[in-house]
Amino acid sequence: MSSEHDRRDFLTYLGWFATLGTFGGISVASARYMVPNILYEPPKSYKIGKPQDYPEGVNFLPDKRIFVVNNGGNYKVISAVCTHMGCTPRWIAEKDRWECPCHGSIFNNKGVVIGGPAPKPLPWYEVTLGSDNKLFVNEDRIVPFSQVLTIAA
Amino acid sequence: MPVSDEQRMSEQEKDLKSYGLMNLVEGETPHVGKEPEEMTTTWPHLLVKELNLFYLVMIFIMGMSVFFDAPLEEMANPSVTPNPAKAPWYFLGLQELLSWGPPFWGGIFVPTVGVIILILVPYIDRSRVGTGLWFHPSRRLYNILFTVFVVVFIGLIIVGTFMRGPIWGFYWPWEPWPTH
Amino acid sequence: MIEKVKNIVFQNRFWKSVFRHGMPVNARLRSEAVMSNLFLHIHPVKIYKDSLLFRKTLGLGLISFYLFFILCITGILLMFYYIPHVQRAYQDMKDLEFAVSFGMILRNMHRWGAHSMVALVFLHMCRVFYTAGYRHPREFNWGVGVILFVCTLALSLTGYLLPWDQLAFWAITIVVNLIETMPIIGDDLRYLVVGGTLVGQNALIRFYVMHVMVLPLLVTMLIAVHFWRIRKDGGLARPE
Repeated sequence: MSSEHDRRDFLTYLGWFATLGTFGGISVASARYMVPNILYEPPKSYKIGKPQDYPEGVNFLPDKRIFVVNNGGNYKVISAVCTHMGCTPRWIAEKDRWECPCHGSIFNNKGVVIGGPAPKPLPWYEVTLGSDNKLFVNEDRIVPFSQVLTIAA
Repeated sequence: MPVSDEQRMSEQEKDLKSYGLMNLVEGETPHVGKEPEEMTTTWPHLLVKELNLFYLVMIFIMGMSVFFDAPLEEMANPSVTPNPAKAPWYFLGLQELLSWGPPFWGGIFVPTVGVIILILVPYIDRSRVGTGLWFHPSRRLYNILFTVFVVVFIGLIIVGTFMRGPIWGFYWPWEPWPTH
Repeated sequence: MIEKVKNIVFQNRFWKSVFRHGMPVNARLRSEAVMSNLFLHIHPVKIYKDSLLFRKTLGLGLISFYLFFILCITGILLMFYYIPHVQRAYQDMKDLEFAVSFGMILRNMHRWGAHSMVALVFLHMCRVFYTAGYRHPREFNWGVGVILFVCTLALSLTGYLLPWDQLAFWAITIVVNLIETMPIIGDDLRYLVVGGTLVGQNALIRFYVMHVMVLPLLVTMLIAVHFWRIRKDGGLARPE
């Protein structure tokens, strides 16, 4: 009697285990399938041409969604993607700040939030000068505001 | 000797079908403590009404489609954000909320809690009075709360749609937007 | 003459194999007409007279359903010309407008139908609330309705990206960045929804599949449950 029940329970559990295992496995595999492993997106590090291409002031690169800031031969690169909802802030030269059109976030000339709902400052990206005398931006490396690339004129 | 299921069944419970719709007769429903209620056949009374409503909906949608074109702007360009950039109108209330503070509260917390509360409404309101009647007086509190929800929901959409200009600044509908 | 035509049309074995009952001229045949038809049998054969009054429901739920139906038909027609590719999608929208016969009207119907459906589903919800139609035993059906409202918004949103114009791109950018702000799972969920890090081809095809396949199927099933429960819960809510 007892061993009969044990056996029946065991087989029931085994059945449940197999069923849930099968459907659970399929579900997990399907969910994993939806996460792509290879992306055909633009690279995160790229060349943006010669320093001389960028005149004094703030230059917007639409293709890369970055601003190249040339401050008297000191080069810096800042993201042009608002940290709030991903819109492109505009450089307002007369006010010396960036303003985002979506929700009105305002960043000062250091990229720091001075108004609006943006949670984080705009990140500055590492920029280096390659051996071919071209600027090289690496978006995976975020640098402090103080870091500049100085190029003698 | 155990009794099989088959044997336990009485004669009536056996798998024999002995019924079918033969006729409908005039008569009163066997409700207790209730007056007989006036009923009518679905065909044609309800069906005709349903069909007429469909014609109205079709006429309305086709009429609108003939006279008003759906908007289509320039091709998507990730490097140029329109100013102001707006979500579809039914999300503009959310976008308005978003502009007030951290996105988690306006964008995730408030809508999620809103939906959960809506689903829980019938489990909170256990009263049986006034069911099926418009604005029953015994439900004044519920109706006021729900109306507040509706007014805020629609009000935020109106603010987001008509009163938000460049860089999400506030403008009255008749105020001109500044041009660069 | 008319009698003759009637005879030929209705009094043959084919017609009678499809519609087993004759013309619904009396109460029994009317009942059978409703009961034996797949599309009509979601109705009861008899209803309360006062449930027929327009002011009871304002027809809002039914209009929502009709709009969904119109959206399905126009959506399927639009699919014949629309290709969900970042280089093609916008061009196809222009073609629908200028090069396809009646293309613009179909697109308009789809767009205005979608806007109307969002509004009508919301109004339907208001109607049910103000008439206290959600109460026992209809709690579950109210919940299904709330989910249907959310699904309607999701359908609208996924469709909003498909024209691949500035309006679409930036509205969706805002929404997917919103997903990112969710605690813990935000980043991964955004990656899953967009199919990468940027709103691009992967996002377009994902939204397309959700819009034309996954969500319509889900909504169709939920509508079936919603309608079925109306009957099982005793039809339109009425005073006791």
